[in-house]
Amino acid sequence: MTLFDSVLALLIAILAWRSVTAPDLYRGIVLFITLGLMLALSWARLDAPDLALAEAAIGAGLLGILLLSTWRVLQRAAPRQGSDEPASYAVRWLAVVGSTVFGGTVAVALYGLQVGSDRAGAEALASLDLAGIDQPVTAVLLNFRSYDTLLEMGVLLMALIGALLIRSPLAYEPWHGDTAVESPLMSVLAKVFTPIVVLVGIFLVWAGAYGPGGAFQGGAVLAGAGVLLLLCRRLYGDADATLLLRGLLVLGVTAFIVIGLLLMPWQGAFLAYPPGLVYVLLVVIEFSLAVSIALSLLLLFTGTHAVRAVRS
Amino acid sequence: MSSIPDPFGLAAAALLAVGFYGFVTHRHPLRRLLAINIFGNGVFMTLILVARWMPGGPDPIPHAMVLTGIVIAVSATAFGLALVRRSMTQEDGDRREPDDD
Repeated sequence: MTLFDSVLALLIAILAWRSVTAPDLYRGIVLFITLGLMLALSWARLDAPDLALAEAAIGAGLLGILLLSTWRVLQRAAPRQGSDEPASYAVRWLAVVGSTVFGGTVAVALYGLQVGSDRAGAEALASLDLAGIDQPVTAVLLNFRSYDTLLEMGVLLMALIGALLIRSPLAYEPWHGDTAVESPLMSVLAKVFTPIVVLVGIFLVWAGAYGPGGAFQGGAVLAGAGVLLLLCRRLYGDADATLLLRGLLVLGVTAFIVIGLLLMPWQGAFLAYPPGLVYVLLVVIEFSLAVSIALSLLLLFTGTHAVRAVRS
Repeated sequence: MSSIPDPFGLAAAALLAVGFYGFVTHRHPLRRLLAINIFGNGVFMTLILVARWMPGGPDPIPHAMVLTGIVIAVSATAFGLALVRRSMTQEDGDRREPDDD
C-alpha cells in the first residue's frame, strides 16, 4: 500500500497548494473541504480512526459549512470587500523561499526524529483496565487526562459566548432575504436522512467506549443533523434562549465538575472515579458532553442564542 | 521508526509550508483563516506520525491531543468567522443606511 499512501500524500500537498492559491475564494473553500476529507482518509491509514472520524465530521464537514456560509454572507453584504488580490511579486517570492526553507527544515527534523521508548502512552495502555473503558483514546480523554477535556469544553463554550456577543447571525430567520425556492429534496432530506444521521451520531457516542468514536465525533454528527434541518428550514435561529437550552449547553461541563466534586470525599482527588462505577460514570459524562458539543457547534453555525422548530 | 521514509511526513511538511505561505501572502481574512487551518492540519499530521512511529503501536496520548486540537481549532475558527462577518458587514453598514434590523 505504499503506492496508495504516496498518491494520497501527494494529493494532500497539491490540494493544500491549490486551496491557498485558488484565484477565487469559493473554490479555495471547496478545495479545503476536499483536503479535509483526504486528511481523514490518510489518518485512517495512519492507525488513527478516531481522528479520521473527527476530521471528517468537524474539520471538513462543520468547518466547511461555516466557511461557505460566511463566504455567502460576505458576498451578499459586500462583494468587493477585503482586498482579495495577492501580495506583490517580490513578497510572494520571498514567501515561497521562506516557506520552502521552513517546510524542508520540518521534513528533515521529522525524518531525523529518534523516538524514545519511555512514553506516557505505554503507561496509559498498561493501565487501561483501570480506566474502565477499552478504547485507549477515550480512556485518555475522559479519565487519564480529563482536565484537558474539561478545559476544552470550556474553550468551546467561550468561543460560543464570544460569537454570540459579536451578534453576527448566519441563520437568523428562515426566509430572510433568501430567494431559494422550496425544493422537493428538502422534505426527503429532513424526514429520511435526519433520523439516520441522528442514529449514527448516537451510535458514535456509544461506540466511544469500545471502538473508534466518542463524544466529539458523535456530537459533531448530531450538530450536522441540526445543520441539515436548518438548511431544510425545519429549524431557525432565534434570539431568545430558554433556560433548558442554556442548561443543555453547559451540561457537559456541569456533569464533569459535579461528578468530580461529588466523588472527592471518597476518592481524595478531583476527577478520580471509583473502579466499580467508572464505566457508568464515563458513559454518563460522554453523553452529556456530546449533547453540549452538538448544541454548541449548532449555535456556532447559526450565530444565535437558540434554535427553534418552524411551525408548519 | 519505519525504515522506508513515510510519504505522509512530506505531506505534513508541505501542509505546514503551504499554510505559512498562504498566511503571509493573503490579506483577505477568510483566506488567512483557511491558511491557519491548513497549518494546523500540518501540526496534527506531524503528531499523528510521531504517535505511529512510537514503538508498540500508535500512542493514544498524541491522538487525544490532536482530537482536542481539532475541536479547539474549529471553535477558534468559528469565533474568527463571526468576527470577520461582523467587521465586514459593519464596514458596509457605515457606508449606507442599515435597511433592516
